[in-house]
Amino acid sequence: MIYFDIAVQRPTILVQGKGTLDVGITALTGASGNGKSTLIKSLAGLIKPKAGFIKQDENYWFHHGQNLFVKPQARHVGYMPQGNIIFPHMSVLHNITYSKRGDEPLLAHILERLQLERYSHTKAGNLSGGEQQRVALGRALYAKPCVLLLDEPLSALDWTLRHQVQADIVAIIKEWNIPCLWVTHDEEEAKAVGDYRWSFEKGILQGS
Amino acid sequence: MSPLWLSLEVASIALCNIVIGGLLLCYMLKRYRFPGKALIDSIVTLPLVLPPVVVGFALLLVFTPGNALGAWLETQGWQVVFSKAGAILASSIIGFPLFYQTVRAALGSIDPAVEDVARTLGASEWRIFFTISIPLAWKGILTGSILAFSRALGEFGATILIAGNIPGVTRTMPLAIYSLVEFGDYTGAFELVVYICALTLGLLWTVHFITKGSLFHYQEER
Repeated sequence: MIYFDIAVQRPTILVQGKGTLDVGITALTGASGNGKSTLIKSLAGLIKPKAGFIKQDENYWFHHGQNLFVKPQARHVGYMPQGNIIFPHMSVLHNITYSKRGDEPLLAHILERLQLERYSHTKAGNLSGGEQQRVALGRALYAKPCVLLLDEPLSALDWTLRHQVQADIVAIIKEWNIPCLWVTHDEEEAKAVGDYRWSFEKGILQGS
Repeated sequence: MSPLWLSLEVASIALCNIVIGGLLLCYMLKRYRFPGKALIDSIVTLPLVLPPVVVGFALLLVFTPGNALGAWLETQGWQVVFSKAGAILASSIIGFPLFYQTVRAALGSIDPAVEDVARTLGASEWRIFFTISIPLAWKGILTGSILAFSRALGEFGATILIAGNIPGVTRTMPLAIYSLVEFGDYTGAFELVVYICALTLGLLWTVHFITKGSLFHYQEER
């Protein structure tokens, strides 16, 4: 479980949020520029909050008072930023095994579960949007994350693909049985995927 | 050594210096936050806009055996003034900004989210630079290398001041052309001009091919 109570200063807004990420999917909605991506990046360690704390079970990742900040490299989060962010110059296999935390059995399971076996030696940049999305998810899962942070995971896909990919990702997350923060601006999507619902209003996290 | 081979040798060694120094500087400026970044950027870009003869004069002042650094280097067996090392140094400094600016722009155009993902996967900053940033910026690195090499090949003003015009030692192609013209040997000068034009044209064509993907067909950008 991830516990946090943070304040993050962004150029135009002060983002504040307090909550607990439990096993299952927490869907986070809110208008653009309200703090959704800021929260995800803060949890991943890519932005340093100006106050508060973040902890995973009993381990602090950030504690302002103790001047503690754990780098993203040591947090073991599975992060999927907006857009199809794969490593386009590498094969699917090299994308997925970029992290050194996974092992052979996990790789075999991910390739099979995400139906990526036949693409394993294909250059990731040559895949379709839906396939790239699966590569990005597989790459995050191979790193044995303790939490998944998905920033608009369906935004780069066209409408016809969205429902299928959404159902796939939800099923896989349930199997992995870890907390997942799923950011979306689409209320319908949030309703469909979320076990819990949060939203951002004017930089303040609600519903947590 | 003929001016053609000497030029190629000087420009090649200069290119090695430029690539190693340029990539290191780009990494440092990308990775670390420190005051004076803009100043460093301006200083290393200065040779692009300054007359090369000014750069040569500055190098002469720094490395002349008459001052502490030059004298110390000479006791270590390093003679910079009026030597091939001086020609290589001049070409490295004059060619550097073309490489640095091209590579910096190429690295800057990489979506920061790609490197962020690599961080969350546990990769060190060095690993990210070598496995993500450099491969994604390869076009810029290759283009910058060719531009810097071409510039090093044509270097004249700084070289003549720091390295002189010693036949077989520091007389590179541009200096040889200058000397031949001075002695009235227009035919000999013309021959070297043809060589240097063909060489640099070939290199610039390669840049065009890399950046546009087409060597012989000029396509209007729409």
